[in-house]
Amino acid sequence: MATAESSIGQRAERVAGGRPRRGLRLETLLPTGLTVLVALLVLYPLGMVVFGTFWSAAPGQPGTLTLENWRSVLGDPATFEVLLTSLVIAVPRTLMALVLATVFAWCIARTNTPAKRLLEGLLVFMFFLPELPWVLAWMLLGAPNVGLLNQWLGALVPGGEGLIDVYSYGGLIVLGAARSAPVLFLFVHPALLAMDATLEEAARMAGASAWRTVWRINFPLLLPALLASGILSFVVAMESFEIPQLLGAPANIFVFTTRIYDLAYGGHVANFGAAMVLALILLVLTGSLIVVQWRLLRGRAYTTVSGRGFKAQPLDLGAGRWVAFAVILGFFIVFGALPMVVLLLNSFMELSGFISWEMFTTQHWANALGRDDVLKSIRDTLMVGIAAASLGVVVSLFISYVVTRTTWGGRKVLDMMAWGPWAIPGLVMSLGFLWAFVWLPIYGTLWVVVLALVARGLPVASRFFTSTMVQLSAELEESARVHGGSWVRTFLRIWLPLLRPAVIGAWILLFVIAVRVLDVVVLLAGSGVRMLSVDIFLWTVTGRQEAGSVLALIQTGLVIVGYVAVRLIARRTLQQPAP
Amino acid sequence: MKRREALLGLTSLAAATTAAGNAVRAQGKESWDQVVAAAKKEGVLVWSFFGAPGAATERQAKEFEQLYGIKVELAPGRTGDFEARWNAERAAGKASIDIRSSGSPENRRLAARNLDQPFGTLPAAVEPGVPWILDPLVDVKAGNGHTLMTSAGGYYILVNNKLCPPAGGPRSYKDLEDPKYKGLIVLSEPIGPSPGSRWAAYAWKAYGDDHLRKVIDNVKALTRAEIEAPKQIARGEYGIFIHPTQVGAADIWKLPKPHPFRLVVPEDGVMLLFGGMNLLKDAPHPNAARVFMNYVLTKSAQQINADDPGGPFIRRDVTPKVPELAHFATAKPFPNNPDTYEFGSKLFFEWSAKAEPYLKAAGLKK
Repeated sequence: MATAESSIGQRAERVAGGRPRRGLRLETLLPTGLTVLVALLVLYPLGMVVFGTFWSAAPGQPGTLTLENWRSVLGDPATFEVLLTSLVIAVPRTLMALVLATVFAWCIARTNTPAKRLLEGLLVFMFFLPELPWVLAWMLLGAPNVGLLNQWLGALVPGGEGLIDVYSYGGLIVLGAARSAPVLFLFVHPALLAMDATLEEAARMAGASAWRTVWRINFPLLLPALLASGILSFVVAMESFEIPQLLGAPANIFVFTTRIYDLAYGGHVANFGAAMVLALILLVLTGSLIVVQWRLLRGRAYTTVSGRGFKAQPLDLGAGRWVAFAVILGFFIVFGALPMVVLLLNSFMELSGFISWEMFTTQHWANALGRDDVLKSIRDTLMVGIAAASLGVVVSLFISYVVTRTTWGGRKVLDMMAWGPWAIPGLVMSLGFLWAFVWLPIYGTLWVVVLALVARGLPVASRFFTSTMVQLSAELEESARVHGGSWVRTFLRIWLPLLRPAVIGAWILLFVIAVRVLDVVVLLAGSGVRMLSVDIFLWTVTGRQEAGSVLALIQTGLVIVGYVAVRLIARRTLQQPAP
Repeated sequence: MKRREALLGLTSLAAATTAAGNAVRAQGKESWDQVVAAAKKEGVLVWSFFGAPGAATERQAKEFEQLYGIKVELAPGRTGDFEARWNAERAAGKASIDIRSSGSPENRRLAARNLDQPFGTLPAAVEPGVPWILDPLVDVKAGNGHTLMTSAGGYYILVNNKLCPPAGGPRSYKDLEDPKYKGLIVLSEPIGPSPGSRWAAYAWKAYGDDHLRKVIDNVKALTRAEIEAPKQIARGEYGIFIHPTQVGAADIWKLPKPHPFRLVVPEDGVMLLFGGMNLLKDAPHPNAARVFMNYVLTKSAQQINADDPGGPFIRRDVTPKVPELAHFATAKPFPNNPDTYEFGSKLFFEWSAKAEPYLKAAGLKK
């Protein structure tokens, strides 16, 4: 990053090359075109969801306009009970995840914590683990009295077998935070890397302590990234389904998403209308948070990357660096390695959850690798993942550019629209996609899945770019433009090199989402399309967890291969001299 | 140019095939050979079913392909996902699924809403002398729609031997009222068509409100992870599970013997569960669907089901792989002849909802 920054001022002049300015038309067309595209990808499906709340049947089915769905949901005290329960879980979960992610990112980006690349890799790896098998592994590890962890604790400490209970508020919060922290780390870490170190140096030169520097310099500069990732984390917590579905019910804990599921699928006839009302309530809640975010950030400058290049010395934590190392490693061991080991062992057991030598078998691996449909699943998943991530990066990059770098009148609307697919629980949004996209000629092919995944990934990727872009000084672009560089040339030669780490990060994020996401794929993939996420889900929930574990490991392997490949390509391109 | 011609050719073929299919259906008394011929012309069948493709579904699909040269496309999915997708496809005029198989309550819901169509006469369904567990045409004959019954299974009571030794353990559903089982029971949450809903509906119908209240008072926890629950019993997490099917219990049968659990065949009767199949409205390959529906009733296809440990089947003349998991074929059915039509219809949900106030009173639900 610092290398890219160091010569940026001179490069701006070279880029300009004295050519006349020709980008005006594109500058005007870009926001308009983007808005139309995002409206098609987001507003149209969202519109179907809104319509569904006022329709007495599922969209497309004979019915009448009605307010009954709203009346029944808002008149039911259970709606507000589950909303409260969801908040009781989501708020501490979000705060915990945010604190963990920020501390981890700060240690790795700005201090002399040992083995930083290893720690970063381990946290990224945790993001790759599929949710459903991960939760099932925790049911095995953390069940009261009989869970493996409890048994080990019981052997160490008298009465220790009752210490951990995943079927509790604590279980839901801690496990949820452990799932969210690696995702938030991916947001906060690049922002910390991109931060101008001269500010920290100046604070330290002025006699500020390390902690005062963090509080007064790092934290305020991180505010955009923290707010964005905090909101994202809160939304993820509110729409989390697998964890409360499996761990909440035994403890009589029911949340917003389990309520949506019950309404949509639990009755005599699916009641999508009421489920959609609940989903829209969540959308309003998230929309309000975004408005708060705008207000908090309004009128402040967060630019930390400018034409000046500087790389500061990392903060010396002294002996504390080993504590930081141990904490991050410990987090990985407990929440990443342990469930992963359980997953791996399960894949070699005759029966998942019963780990012993006499239950050992390689049959599940042999079955999976010898099946044509599994190979097709791998092929389709890879194709969809690569296409969705690549398209998604392009669209999100331009959305973030328009939102942060232009004065176009509709930019806030565009920003808000891009949030849509994330602010509505996947269970319901996937119905919106289905009803919207079933009319397209590409329905039933891989491409309709790609489109929906691009839309589903927009909030994450655009947030990723936005939090980085607000840190970049406008002087870089202005310098190139003053020298006559066209908009396209400026974008390619100034913006892209600066955003390269963010592009790589966003691509990986989108690729992982595309490979792992289930709700959209389950409804849109035709009978001729196979996706690993669907196979894992179906095999796991129908009692073939051993085979599901094999597929989950294959899926994790695919994501790791994608991650490593992109990092290698990125390293190669970063090593090339700037033009 | 070639592509255009090919497309035109395909369109004509499709039109001819559709016309042939319609014609065959219109005849009413057509010979089975004509149906098979029309099915072969259609060439493809899209089979949607609850759950994941398993050994039995794949073997049946393969055998059917070998027998008739008709390709079977598997479209697995949960009830809600299937309905959402299929409804949207129909609204857009793109219905892609021919048949849906699931538990009979789901199939009967389809039939009750007139979302299926008649499948005509299937030779295998009227073959004389077949020892059916349930007549596959029970609903059709009763005028209750067009659901074909294709498999049978049963619910049992699963008990951990250590937490609840055989000497004082439950022998029937009625026994579960005893306060000595307090804090031992994990119950499948009665919601939607879950096993817990089935228990609540059947038990309420047979024993009334007081029974539901007493049993629910003994429940320690509800679960939505019915697939995990038998393993939780085997591990000793809970003492009694209400209530796994023979398929659910088949998993833990793989554990080394002696098993730390036992499967209780309730003395007051086995709650039976039937699997159904419907020929869907707007099915793009109706004749292939009919030939397949006929095929699944044959002894060969049913034996494939029975070859899976705990696999459900509807003919008694097959050999189950694990006989201890096949008591449903011979055991006494639960009172009031369960799984009559009303159990699969709206009433089923009304009856299972009887558990709701007791679950709330026991603090198991809010």
